[in-house]
Amino acid sequence: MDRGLFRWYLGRMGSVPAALVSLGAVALHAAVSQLAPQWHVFGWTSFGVSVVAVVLNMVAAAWLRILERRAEPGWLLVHAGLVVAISSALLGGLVATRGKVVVREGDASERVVDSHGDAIAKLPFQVLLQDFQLEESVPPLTLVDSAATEIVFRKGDPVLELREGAKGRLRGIEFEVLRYLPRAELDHDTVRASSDSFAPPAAFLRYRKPGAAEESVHQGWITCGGNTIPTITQPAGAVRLAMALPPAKAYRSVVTVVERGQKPREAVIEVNRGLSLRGWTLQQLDYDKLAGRGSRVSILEAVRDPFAPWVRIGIWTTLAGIALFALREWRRPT
Amino acid sequence: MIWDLFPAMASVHLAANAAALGLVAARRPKAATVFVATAAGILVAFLAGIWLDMGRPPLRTYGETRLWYALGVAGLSLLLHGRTRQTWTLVYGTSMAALFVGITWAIPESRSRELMPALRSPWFVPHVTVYLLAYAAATATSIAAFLDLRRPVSGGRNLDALLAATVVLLSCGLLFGALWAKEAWGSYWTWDPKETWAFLTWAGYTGVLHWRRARPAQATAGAWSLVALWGVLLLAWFAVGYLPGGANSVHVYAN
Repeated sequence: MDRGLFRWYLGRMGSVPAALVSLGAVALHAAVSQLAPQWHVFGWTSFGVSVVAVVLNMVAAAWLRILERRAEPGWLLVHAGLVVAISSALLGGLVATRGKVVVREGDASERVVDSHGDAIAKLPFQVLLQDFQLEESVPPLTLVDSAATEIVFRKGDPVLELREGAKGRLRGIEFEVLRYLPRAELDHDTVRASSDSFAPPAAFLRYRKPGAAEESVHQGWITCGGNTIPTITQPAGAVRLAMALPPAKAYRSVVTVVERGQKPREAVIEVNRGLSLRGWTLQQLDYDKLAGRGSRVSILEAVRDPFAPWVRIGIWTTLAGIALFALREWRRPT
Repeated sequence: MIWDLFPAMASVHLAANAAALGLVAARRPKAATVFVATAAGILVAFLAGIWLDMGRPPLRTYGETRLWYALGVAGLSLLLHGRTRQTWTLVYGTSMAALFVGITWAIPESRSRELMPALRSPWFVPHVTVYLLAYAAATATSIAAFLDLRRPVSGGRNLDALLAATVVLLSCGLLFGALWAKEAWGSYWTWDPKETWAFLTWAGYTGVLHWRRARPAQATAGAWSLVALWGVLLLAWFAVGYLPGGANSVHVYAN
């Protein structure tokens, strides 16, 4: 290609107006996706073309600045990093495999399935689920309408966690948690601590209704109920004091990775801590929500994206460039 | 619970900001900075207290993030005033901090000590604090742009510096979020509604930065865009859940 023509092309393609038009086109698609989510804008060819135009613009601008020897290190790193990250993400989108591995305690699986449960890939190793562990937070107190048996918690009501010794006031009802059992069971009419790891928690409350005299103080157990004890609530006028279901604090899968010709090895997969092996990354995605702490099923997300490391390199390069750019701007006189 | 002390803290904070505003009006900016710093110090102590009391970073709910934003604008206004000596920076710091603490007081929220599993990450604090600083810088940028439209000062250099700071912080927030999303959900970017609006905000400010540097003679159009972009930022921060695509966002922990 003629050198002059190539320079002319770089000058046009790498110009700021071209950058604004291409970035604006991506932004327009993004805005439309929010106003009309049913259109699946990110699958449109025009969206892909807009993203490619952004990348070409940055490549041309960088090339031009290098040729003209006016590429500042910060500027160059930001744009080079973005080119690497976006290009790798685009290529990854074309070749990556993403699915789920559903595995039960005691079973092993290598099947990667899609959202319909159809197999889409096979892991080069097997994942044996030894144990699915779920830690629950201390459940909060809630109020249930006695007549409608509905939760009547309002936005702005304080979340009063049922920790032992906790005191609080909810809609004028004063209460104190005298005892908290992380696992409880019913023995005849007595609530006591349970050794069953799937037993629900229970709390023993002392509470006073609004405006009531000291002698009208009540006491009683509340629990969200489970396999060892039925749900128990306490009456407090038009409402009943109840225990909300304990929210999940953390959950993880203790797995054994079995590979042909290799010694089996144990690993832990949890939210924010995946397992990368043989080009696949496994993330903790979900579990049997109905069973809660008693879930024996773990749902892992399996991703094979050969370009993912390049996206990471691109992001860190961009961050390094941003740091240099910020330093330069800070030194600029105001 | 330390949160129970919020009305008392907010009262002192608002009084300190009102005093600072009065001193600015009386042309005593140096004394005003003392009150702005006092109000910021009160917020720092309160945020540290609720962090220790709840055993988690107070960065989860809208109310909590509003307090960090109030702290960010106060810190930024002191920094800007130190560098430029312009009094509008103090008016911005006091009024925005007071407004956002006042909103937090007016809109009660549920307080919980717990964090959902996805938020238990080393990226949580840097991602959210960088974003709130970015929002504080973006607000200052929009105000500076509005003032620049009426009476240009320093040839727009202060505005350009603020805009650069906004883009730097927004970019860091966006990229920290991408790195965190990869660890939590296996993807750097999924065009989740919150991510989409964060991108739109970033694209807007980044576009204007490029425009102003390439076409300094036509900076007015860029300045008007900066005023309008503050609306996009507020939408990205508070209103995503109310938009058609927002209901499916995975960022529901902010509600």
